[in-house]
Amino acid sequence: MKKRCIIFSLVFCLTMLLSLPLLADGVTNTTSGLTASTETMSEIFEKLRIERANLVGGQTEVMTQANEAKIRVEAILNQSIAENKALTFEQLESLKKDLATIKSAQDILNTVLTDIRTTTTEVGEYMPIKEYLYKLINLYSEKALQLYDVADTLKDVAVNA
Amino acid sequence: MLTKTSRLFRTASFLSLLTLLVFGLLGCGAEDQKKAQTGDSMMQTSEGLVLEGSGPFPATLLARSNNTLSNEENQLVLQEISMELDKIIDLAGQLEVIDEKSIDEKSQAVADETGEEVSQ
Repeated sequence: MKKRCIIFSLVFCLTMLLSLPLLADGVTNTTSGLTASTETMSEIFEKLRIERANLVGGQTEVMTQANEAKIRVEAILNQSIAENKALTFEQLESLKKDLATIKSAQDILNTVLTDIRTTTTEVGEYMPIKEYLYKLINLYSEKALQLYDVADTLKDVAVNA
Repeated sequence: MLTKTSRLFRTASFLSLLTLLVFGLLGCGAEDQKKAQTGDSMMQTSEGLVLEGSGPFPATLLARSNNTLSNEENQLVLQEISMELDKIIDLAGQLEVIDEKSIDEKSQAVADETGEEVSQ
């Protein structure tokens, strides 16, 4: 019985230790399930096209939402000028939160830009090899999600002010 | 034999506990890092919210003001927020994505080499 316990404990320790690298990496993105190497190049290129379109969609969404937020801010500004009335306590509190949101959005965008630039400049011209294409697909997929998240946060800017 | 087994058992239990402790600490570390990342751009002071790296307007002005800004200051804050949103549009516009035409060309080139059918 004791022997079994010891073996079980050792196996448990070993499993936990082996899974440490996964934890350290924060479990890297496996959303696209891009581990299969049986895919044809044509299928991989198709995935790249989809993720590229997704990324461009995210980019457009960020720009659209930032523009709409800008319109809302300018409406408040115009109203403030027209009525010559100071902003209320609630409006100012809301603007503080909006500023934090905007600053955070800028930080995320800077990271997205840097990550994409770094990866694409690692190889001068992108190579039609599976590993590199998978890397690009994962990168585009991950960054598109971040862009959509940024766009979502911008929807709340200047809504309550 | 019994003593040896017991010692082994104790060692194994100790190792298990140690591993769990390491995981616990790593978990806490990851959580702290996440918090640090999200809270990086802002901090709460006695004056209110101050954004790091911001100029005199609008964040510090908002924080200093204790929410009693003049109309002109209000307008400056709003103008500055609008400019910050412009920066977001500008940053998003700088995104470099591989040209779709280039993907088509590479895809076609590979298809020609391997005899695969190209789906576009």
